[in-house]
Amino acid sequence: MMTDSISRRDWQRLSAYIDGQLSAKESAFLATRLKNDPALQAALDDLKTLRGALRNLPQLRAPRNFTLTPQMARGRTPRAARLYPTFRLASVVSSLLFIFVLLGNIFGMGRLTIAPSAQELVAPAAEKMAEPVEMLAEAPAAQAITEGETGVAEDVESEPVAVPPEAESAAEAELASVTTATPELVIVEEESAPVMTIIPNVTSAPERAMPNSLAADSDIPQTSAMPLSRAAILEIVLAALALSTGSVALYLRWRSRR
Amino acid sequence: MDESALIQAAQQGDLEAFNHLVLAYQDRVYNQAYRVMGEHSAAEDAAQDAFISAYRKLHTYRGGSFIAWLLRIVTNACYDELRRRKRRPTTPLEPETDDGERFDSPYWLTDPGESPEAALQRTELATAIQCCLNELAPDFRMAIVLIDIQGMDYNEAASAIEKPLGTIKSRLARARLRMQTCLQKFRELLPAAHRLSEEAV
Repeated sequence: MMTDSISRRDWQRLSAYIDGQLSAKESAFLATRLKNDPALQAALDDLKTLRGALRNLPQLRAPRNFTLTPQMARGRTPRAARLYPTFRLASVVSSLLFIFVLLGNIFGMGRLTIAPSAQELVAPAAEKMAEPVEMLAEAPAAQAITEGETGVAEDVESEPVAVPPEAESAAEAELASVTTATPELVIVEEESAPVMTIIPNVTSAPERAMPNSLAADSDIPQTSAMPLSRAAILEIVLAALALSTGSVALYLRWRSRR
Repeated sequence: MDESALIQAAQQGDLEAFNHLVLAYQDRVYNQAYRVMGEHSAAEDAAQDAFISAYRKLHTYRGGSFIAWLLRIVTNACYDELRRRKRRPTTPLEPETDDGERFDSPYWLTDPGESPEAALQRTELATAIQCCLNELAPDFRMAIVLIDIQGMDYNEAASAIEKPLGTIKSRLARARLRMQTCLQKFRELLPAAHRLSEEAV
């Protein structure tokens, strides 16, 4: 066979040559080689023969008409196209929910509906409660704080307020003359979720008896310092849902248009 | 009604206009499918699927050669079917030799009622070529069918299979080389009339 004696590269050049795909310079160079190389010329002849045979193949007639009926034209919508609106809607809804929760959280609505757990709330509250007691003990007009006065502290596993022994005795001595300004833990029922909050008990305490720092601390933040509140978790879940359904919707749209 | 008017009407949902286009191009589409698939029934399915797909994707047609666009769709339909067959291979209905090997050519399919000479004259070359086409890898087969059988130029073929021009050149050259090698087996059977005389390049 003549094609055995020429390189694959030459064969590729010959193939492009017979289709007029070589540049003028390459064609001229190849034409010169063809005059001097009988093997190359024989390969070109074989190639022309092959191409001629292929081009002269009889054109087959279609065995039947392929015209479409209305049913065929309507057909069955591809699965990707059917699923696309569902995922698009899911993406839009989850995006709107995400924005709603985000805005609610920013403007304070989240505090009304999303309550931190009791344990999360009591821990910082107990710290706040200990501070004024220690200050009062150093005064040395501190009030003895018993476990009973802390309200629901036992229920929420809160540590009793620690009072140094020396401060305790001094506080007992001055108990009668010192007014109380002890914060209380109460449970406020809001909607479906019980919300535990701290309301400073100042009804029986004259303002003059309360140290300035305690007065400043009386508005203890209710939801701050939460490492990952439920609202934040909800935001993350909604954002992930919006992104994933949006991505799937885009993919399905791309599939259905292929 | 000319082609562009028919296309425009079909794009607006006129099924009758689209069916006029089907009738005009169904032979070429079927030919393409048959040369790639190598079977009449598979070619029919591919051609029908291609026309259905073309009607539904008509909004993506952006002008240019409509037949090239159609051939691209039928080429994709053939690719899909070939891929499906590769995933779920079936046993071909071909005889085996005593050693369990398949015969090289489908001559056993020729009509026994036809005289040997007539059958040879009519089908020999086409059958040999189709047999060799079937032995090519699908990528090479697509290139040679589009350019050498359908008569597309390189740019149209590149557009049809969505590959660069260089890929088409390379695949076509390799496909021709393999076809040349394959047809050597049938060379002594090919009538001299099918050999081309020297062409001026």
